[in-house]
Amino acid sequence: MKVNKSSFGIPYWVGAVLLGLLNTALFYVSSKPWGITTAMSFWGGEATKFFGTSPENWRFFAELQLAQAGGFQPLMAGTLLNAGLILGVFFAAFIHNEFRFRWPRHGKQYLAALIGGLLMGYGARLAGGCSVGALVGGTASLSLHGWIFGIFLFPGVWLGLKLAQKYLY
Amino acid sequence: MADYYLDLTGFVCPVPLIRTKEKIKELAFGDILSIKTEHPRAVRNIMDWACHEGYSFDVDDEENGVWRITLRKGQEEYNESQ
Repeated sequence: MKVNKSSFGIPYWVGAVLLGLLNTALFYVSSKPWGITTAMSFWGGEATKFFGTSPENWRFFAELQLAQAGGFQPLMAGTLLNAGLILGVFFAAFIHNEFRFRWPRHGKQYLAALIGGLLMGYGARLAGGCSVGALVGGTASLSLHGWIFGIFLFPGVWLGLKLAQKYLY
Repeated sequence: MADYYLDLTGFVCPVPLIRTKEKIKELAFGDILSIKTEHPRAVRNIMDWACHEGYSFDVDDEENGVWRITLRKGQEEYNESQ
């Protein structure tokens, strides 16, 4: 079926405005800007209990008030937001008949995804969030960390693209 | 005039665009390149690139989440030789 070229995807600015409005609404109801990775680190911390740790005593989680909040809660807001993100993207793809299981072509793509995921997760913890929590939330609240994050995204993406060109090709 | 085909399923950005740019160098003016991709963002950036280069192209969706972009290298040159 012929695809109408001009309608392939909404303009980027529409997405930017929608994200801004939704983030404002979320901040209004939850007093926290949108974030993705913090919820994941709670899950990661909980998973390490399998090896006999007590993450609620770790300084990182103590600062995030895990101990005061009565320990790990599986249905915490961040987890629901992440589930909503995945469901929303699924339905968007589904109603446009774009849903499809996509498999990487080469084995090295799996390895790259694994290494990239670990680096992004570690980096997000060091930076106080990911491109959503640190960049979008940080710059919107005029926190310096968001701007520093944004500036260093450029050399990071440049390096990532060079590596992708060299090895993932 | 020759037809070329590039199967780029299983690749995500930026690989489809890079591979397309490399392949197009092998084509003579007027040749047709047909690209198969399942990455929506790749459709978008290959379209943007083709517009920038002034190549005419069509996009078809073959099945759920699979697109075929057919582009002709240098449309003007092709039309003049007709």
